[in-house]
Amino acid sequence: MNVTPSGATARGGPYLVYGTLLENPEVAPSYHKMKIRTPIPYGDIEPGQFMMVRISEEPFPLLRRPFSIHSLRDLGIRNGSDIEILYKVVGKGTKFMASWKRGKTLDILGPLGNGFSLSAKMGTQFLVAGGIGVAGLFALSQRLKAHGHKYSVFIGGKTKEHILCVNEFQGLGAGVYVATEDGGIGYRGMITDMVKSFLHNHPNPSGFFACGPVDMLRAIAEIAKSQSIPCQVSLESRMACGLGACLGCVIRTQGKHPLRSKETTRHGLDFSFKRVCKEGPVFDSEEVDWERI
Amino acid sequence: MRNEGPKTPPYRPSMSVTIAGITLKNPVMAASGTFGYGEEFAPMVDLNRLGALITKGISLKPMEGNPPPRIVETVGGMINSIGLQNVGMQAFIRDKLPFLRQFKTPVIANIFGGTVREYGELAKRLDDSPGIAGLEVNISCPNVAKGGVLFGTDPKMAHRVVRAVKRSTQLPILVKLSPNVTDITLIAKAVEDAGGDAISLINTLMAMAIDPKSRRPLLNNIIGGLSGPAIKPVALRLVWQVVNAVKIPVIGIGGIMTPEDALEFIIVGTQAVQVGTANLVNPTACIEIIDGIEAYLTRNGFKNINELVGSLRIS
Repeated sequence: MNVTPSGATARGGPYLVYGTLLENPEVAPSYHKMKIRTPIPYGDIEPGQFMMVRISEEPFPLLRRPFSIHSLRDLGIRNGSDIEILYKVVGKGTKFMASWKRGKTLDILGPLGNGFSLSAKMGTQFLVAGGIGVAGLFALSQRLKAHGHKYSVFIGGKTKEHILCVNEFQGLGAGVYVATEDGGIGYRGMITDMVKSFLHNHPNPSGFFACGPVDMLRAIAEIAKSQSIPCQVSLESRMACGLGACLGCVIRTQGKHPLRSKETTRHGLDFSFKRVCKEGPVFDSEEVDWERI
Repeated sequence: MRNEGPKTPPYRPSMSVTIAGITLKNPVMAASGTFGYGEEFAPMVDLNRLGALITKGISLKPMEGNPPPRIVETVGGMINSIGLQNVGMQAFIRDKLPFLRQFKTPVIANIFGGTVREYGELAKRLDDSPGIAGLEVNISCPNVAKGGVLFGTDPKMAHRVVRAVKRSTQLPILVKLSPNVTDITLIAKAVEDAGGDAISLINTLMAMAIDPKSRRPLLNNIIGGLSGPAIKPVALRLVWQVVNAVKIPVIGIGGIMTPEDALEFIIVGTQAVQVGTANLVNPTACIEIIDGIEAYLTRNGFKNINELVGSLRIS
C-alpha cells in the first residue's frame, strides 16, 4: 500500500494507488458494500466523485469499473482514508468483485470527476435516491451533517429488498422517507410521486440532490424546475478511462460546451456533449438534455 | 549467443530509436485518442519518459463527434465510435500545444481531414507551430461518414492524401493505416511511393455488438472500431506483411498491454510501437512497457534495441 503501481507520486489527484480490501459483505440480496483502506488524502475527495476499480490483471474483464464514493472516513493526513463502495451485482465485473475477500490488494484510480457543490449557507436539502442510487448520496449526507446542514432523504425501489441504507441515514439523524413500487414498505408508488405529494403539505426544500435511474432523475428535474428549486443530479454512463481522455462517456446537455463557439455554431455543430467523467458525474439538472440524453 | 549475455552488464542498453528523422528516447509512443492531449495523464505519468506522444486526432474545424453510447466492452477489447470529437486545429494550437511544449517528449500531431485539401491545409498550419515533431496522418478512422477510412482503403486516394500533406510540410509524416482492407501491402506501398516517412498500423478493426434482450445495437453508431488485446494477433500479422513490403519504418499498434506484447512487434520488425487501449485501463501502461522492454534487453544481453528489430527467427 501507499505506492502507485508505477511507483510514481501524485499531488492533489487523481491518484493511481493500491488499496486494501477491509470487507466486502453482501448487505442485501445481490448488493455488496466494499470497504477499502486507501492512501488517498481525505481532503482531496468530494462527495459525488467516483473511483475506477481495476477488475482483473488479465484482459477480461478489460476496463475498470466506475463507482460512486459511498462513504468516507478520514484516517489522518499521513494515512489516507477508508472509502466504501456500495454496488449491485449486475454484470461480469461486479460478479468478480463480489467474490473478493478481505485483504485483497485493489488497483484503484480516483477521486475522479466533479462532486456535488455545496455552499456555506444552504437551507433544507432533499436527497432523492432510486435503488442503487443511494450509493452516491451517503457521503453527501455525511458531509451535510458535518457542516450542520438540514436535510431529508427519500429512497425508492422496486420492492423492500431494493431499499438500502435506511438505518445508516437514520444513524446520521436524517429523516428518511421510503417508497416501493409494490408498497411492500413505505409509500406505494414511485419515489418521485412521493416527493411530489410531500411538497403539497411541507415547505419546499432549498435544493435537491438526486441519484438513480434516468427516468427518476428526469422526474425530479421536472419537479425542481416547476418549483424553481436548484437540483443537482449524479449521472452514470459506460466509461473507459475515467480521466476525460477517451471521450467515450459523453451525454447530451443543454449547456454550452467549452468547444462551442461562434465558429462551431456557424458550421451547424451542436456541441452539447459533455463527459460524465470530467464535467460530471454531477450536473445541474437544468443543464441535462433530458429528451435526448 | 545473445541469450547467454552477462547477468549484470556494466551498461544500460540503448533504448533510443530514430524514426522518420525523429529521435525517440525509447520506442514506446502513446497512441492517438487514448492519451488525450497529455494533460489528462500528467497527474499520474511523467510525460518526459514517453518515447513520443501522439495527440487526439485534430481536424481543421472542431468536431462534435457521434451521439452516445459511444463505447462498449467486449471480450478482451472494446468497441468505440467516438467520431473524432476534437477541439479543432486553432484551439489545439492555442490551448493544448503550450502545455505539451514543456516536455522533452516529441509531440506528434494526428491529423484528419474530410478532403485532400483539408489534409494539406492542416499540415501547412501545423508546420508553422513550434513544438510539433511530426504528423501522423489518419487515413483510417472507421467512425466518420466522409473521408476517414475511405482514404485508407483505396491506394490511389491514400497516395493523393500523403502527397498533399508531404507538399505542405517539412515535418516527418507517419501515415496511420486501416486494417479493414483486403491487401494491406497495396496501401502501404502507395503511402511509401507518395513520400510517407513511416507507417503506423493498425487502427481499429470494424466491429459490432448487440444486446439480444433488447435486439438493439450497443453503440448509437451501430458499428465501431475494436481495440484492445483481442486484436493483437491480427495486428501482428498485418505488421508482418507490411514490414516485408516496404522499406520505410513501421510503427506497430494493436492491443499492446505488456512489454512482451511490444516485443512481439519489435521482433517482427517495427522500430517503435504505440500503446493505446492499455492507457485507458492502466494510466501508467506506457511506463511499465518501457521499463519491461529495457529489462528484457538487459536480461538477454542486447546492447541496443535496434539489434532486436526484425530479429524474428524463421528456420
